[in-house]
Amino acid sequence: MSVEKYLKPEVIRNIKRLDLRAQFVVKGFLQGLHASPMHGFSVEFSEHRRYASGDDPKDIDWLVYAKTDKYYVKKFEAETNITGYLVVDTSRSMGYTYRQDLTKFDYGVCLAAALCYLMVHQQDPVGLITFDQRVRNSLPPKSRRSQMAAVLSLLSRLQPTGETNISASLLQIAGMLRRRSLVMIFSDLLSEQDEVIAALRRLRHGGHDIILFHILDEAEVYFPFSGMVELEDPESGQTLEVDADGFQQDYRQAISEFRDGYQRESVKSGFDYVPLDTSMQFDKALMEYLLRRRSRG
Amino acid sequence: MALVTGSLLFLGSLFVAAPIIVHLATRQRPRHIEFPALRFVQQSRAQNQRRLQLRQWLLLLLRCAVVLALAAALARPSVPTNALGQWGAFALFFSATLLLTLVFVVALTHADQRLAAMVAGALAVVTLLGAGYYLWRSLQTGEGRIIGDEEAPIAAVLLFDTSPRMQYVWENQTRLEAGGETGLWLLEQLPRGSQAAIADAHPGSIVFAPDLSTARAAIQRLRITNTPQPLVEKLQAAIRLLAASENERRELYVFTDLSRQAWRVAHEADVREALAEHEEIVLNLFDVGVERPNNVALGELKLSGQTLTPGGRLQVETSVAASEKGGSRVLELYLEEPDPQLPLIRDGHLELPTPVLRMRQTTQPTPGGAVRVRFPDLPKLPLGVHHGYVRLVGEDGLKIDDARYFSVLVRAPWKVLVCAPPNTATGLFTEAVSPYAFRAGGRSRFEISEIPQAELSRHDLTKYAAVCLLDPAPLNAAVWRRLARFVRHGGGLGVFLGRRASPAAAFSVPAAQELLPGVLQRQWRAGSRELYLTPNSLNHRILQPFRQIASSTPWDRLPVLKHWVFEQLAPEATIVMRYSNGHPAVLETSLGGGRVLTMTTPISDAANSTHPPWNYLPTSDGSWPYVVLINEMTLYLVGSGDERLNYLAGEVAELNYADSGTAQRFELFTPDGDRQEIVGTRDRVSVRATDLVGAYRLKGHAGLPISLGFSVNLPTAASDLTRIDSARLDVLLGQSRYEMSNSRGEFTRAIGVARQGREFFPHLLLLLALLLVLERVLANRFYRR
Repeated sequence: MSVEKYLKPEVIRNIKRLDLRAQFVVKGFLQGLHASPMHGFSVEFSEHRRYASGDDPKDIDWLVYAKTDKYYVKKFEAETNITGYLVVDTSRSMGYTYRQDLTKFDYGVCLAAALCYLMVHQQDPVGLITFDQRVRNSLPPKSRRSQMAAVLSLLSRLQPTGETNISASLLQIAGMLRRRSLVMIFSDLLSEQDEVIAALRRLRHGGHDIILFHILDEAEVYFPFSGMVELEDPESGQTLEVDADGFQQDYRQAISEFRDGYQRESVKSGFDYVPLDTSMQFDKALMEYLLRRRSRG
Repeated sequence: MALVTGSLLFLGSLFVAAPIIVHLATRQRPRHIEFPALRFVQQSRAQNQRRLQLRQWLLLLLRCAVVLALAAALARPSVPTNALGQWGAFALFFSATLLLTLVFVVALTHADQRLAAMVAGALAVVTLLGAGYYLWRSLQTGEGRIIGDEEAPIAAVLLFDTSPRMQYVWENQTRLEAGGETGLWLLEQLPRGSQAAIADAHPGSIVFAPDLSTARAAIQRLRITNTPQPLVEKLQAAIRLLAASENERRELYVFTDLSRQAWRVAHEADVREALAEHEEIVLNLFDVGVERPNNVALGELKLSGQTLTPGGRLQVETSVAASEKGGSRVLELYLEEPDPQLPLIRDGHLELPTPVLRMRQTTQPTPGGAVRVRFPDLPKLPLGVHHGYVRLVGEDGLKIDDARYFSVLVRAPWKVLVCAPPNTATGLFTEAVSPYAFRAGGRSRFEISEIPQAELSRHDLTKYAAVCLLDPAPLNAAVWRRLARFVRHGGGLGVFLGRRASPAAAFSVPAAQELLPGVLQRQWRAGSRELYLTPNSLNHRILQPFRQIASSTPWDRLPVLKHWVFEQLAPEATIVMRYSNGHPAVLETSLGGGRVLTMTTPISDAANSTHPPWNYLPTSDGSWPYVVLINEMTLYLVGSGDERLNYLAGEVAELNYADSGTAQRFELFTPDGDRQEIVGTRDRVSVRATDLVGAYRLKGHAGLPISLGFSVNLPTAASDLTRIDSARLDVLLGQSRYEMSNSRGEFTRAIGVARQGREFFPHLLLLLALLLVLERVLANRFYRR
């Protein structure tokens, strides 16, 4: 997939719209995303804005109040010191979609691109790590605007192939990261759940913030098949012949339990878990997540 | 069950292998789909595999069923009509079994439906048992009847109802003609090599015709009989004939107007049982009757008497019944002019006395109702036999009941000898049976002669029809023996015991006991108690006039004071009438050809006699019951009712010619003009062939000319066109045991059904279509692309 794929008009539009619509988020949520000790450390004045209920009173510009007798808050473009890592699963299973436009990998890349864009726009350093059975590629974090092109360029060169070993890869990443970072993982997590959770704990224990984007194909979530089907695991090549009709309910139940496992762990270990499927519009999904996170933070 | 093309079923069944081979060889592959989340599928794989296998088996079974249904449909299976119900029940239970099995299989594939699977499985077993039971019943019911092969030779009996009702004309055809026409058509439809018997209501056995052309001729010769044998009896005879036939396919066709009278039967279970016993016999009824017949019928003629004396009046009464349309109808009464020379064959032509229209009456019967018509008295008929008839003017569907014939004999008065001891008043009796006014006018029925009892020993009794002993004194044995001889020769003896019958022992001598009903024992005195005659049972002929007025007859106004009591009643003695105290009043005994009536109280005691009367029977106010009783007793003694001149068709006519001369040979002229020679024996002549309706005339050959005669009519029931309802027919023949049709189209269908049975071809095609649809639905569902 080429770089243009991710910069095609609708994707750019989506990203731009996201940028426009979430401008305050871009300039605020990453601030909230940061750890609080770094707060107020960098201030490059951006604009004034009428005070609105809910704004922090300490942001009120008293000088403007003295002049105008109105409350204005000062908005700043943050100069962050948070380092983000986009960790993308490139195993064979990520290249799957049943009937959607984007494969899980594409979906993850779009998300990663958007976040990359936002972070670069925020002048946060952002790096890229890809893995399957182990870490395959990595771009060191940079906050330059050229970083985005580098990230996209690398992603567009990748083909999801081979088997996956998420837990090993995550452990490897945990070993790689020296500074506390924001680790954004894009994976279908189709691996042994316990091992993956153990790796996530290890990563979390390293002091990293984790946002786990769990990307499944719509077919993997809803199992929309009917009649007799022969299913093949693209990674292992294993096949199964099943009657889809009588099976759908059981499958959905299993998937739901699988996702719930991560959800429970996210609460327990204190990381963000974002279950997604390829039928969801990724920009909306991202927005929702960011808003939710902001309201939480 | 039979198969029209049985070989196809066998060959077709072999093709069941085809779907199995196809199923195994080219089993449709499931869709191949790449699916990374296979680990979650694997968890429930085992259960899913079992479900898959079950569904595959189900699909294979369905495909086999499709082939089998196609083969079965092409084989055109059929079952006997009477086994249809059982086969239907079998199909129902079998379908239920299949359905429940399907539910069982589907439920098995769901882990949470175990209970449903168990229930469905149990029910499937139950319905399978039901299906097995009805299959067994079906095979039992249809056993023996051959169906399926329409060209197999047939043993057929065509039974035609030839009773007089079949003369009903509808659309210019009598019902017999209509039936015969269909019968001829039916003969043409019989397969080659078939044998047929033509039966009708005439007496006689049924046999198979040598060939079908003979059977055809027999149908063309069918004639109405006025003395039909019951149709049901002929039906049983036909069943017996068919049961003995060599042909295995047996069919019985009945051409009937379905009137209630035709299907009257004494033992209704007989036919049903015979039909049930021979299930192989196919019974077809062809209805040639008319649903709403238009008929006006004359009822039975009621004559004031069949034997009249000169000057006696003849009264004729009848009824007119209309079935559908009422309206005004004219009745005419004809009477022949007696001519001793006729009938006579002159120049080869039979000459008969000319009937003369004597009276005409108009009546207006209502639809479905009947009106009585009484003609005025016919006065003063001359001596001899008179023939006449009443006819309805105009036409209707059935002619046979438009005329009724009658014959009366006018004869000289009966001679009665009245014998009494001296000083016994005979006038009361004489005036009661032969009043002076009648004697003077020549209208008296009896010619009374009176003699003293003492002359009885030498008086010639042979010229008398009856002897009446009024209050007799003891008689010697010789007189008793004379009287016994007189009775033995057909005479009537009336003994009216009174106070002179003493000593009672004189009446117990053996010679007297031959005539008397018992031993005369004692007198019974009423004293202060009320005693009178009480005829409890009015069955005897002498009490017939009292039947209509039994409760209003004032017997209690005719007191009886004394009567004799008989002991040790003879076994042959019958008590005709009793007193209110229960003792017999009138007793009857018979001896040889004659009869003896004994009354235990006199009938001749005058009220003003020197001796107190034994009763006030003749002398009370309102003594009319006495007059009627005495007249009836005398008529009975002279044997007036024995002369019967009006018969129903088929009855044996008995005529007495003792009074008419000594001829032994007679010429009998039947109503259709035929002449026969018959011989009389012992003063009587019997005519057995009375199946024609009308007047029969006998002419004596030797000695003086003798004219005898009688009339024959059909019973009124013979023209009763009321139709039998199907429920009654079901009771008689058995439900579903016969096919009914009233047109050739229906007949053809009924015969087809009987020979072919009920075909399942359309049902099997429907089943095939359903199976195909089901197979397609399941196949698409299992292997959806």
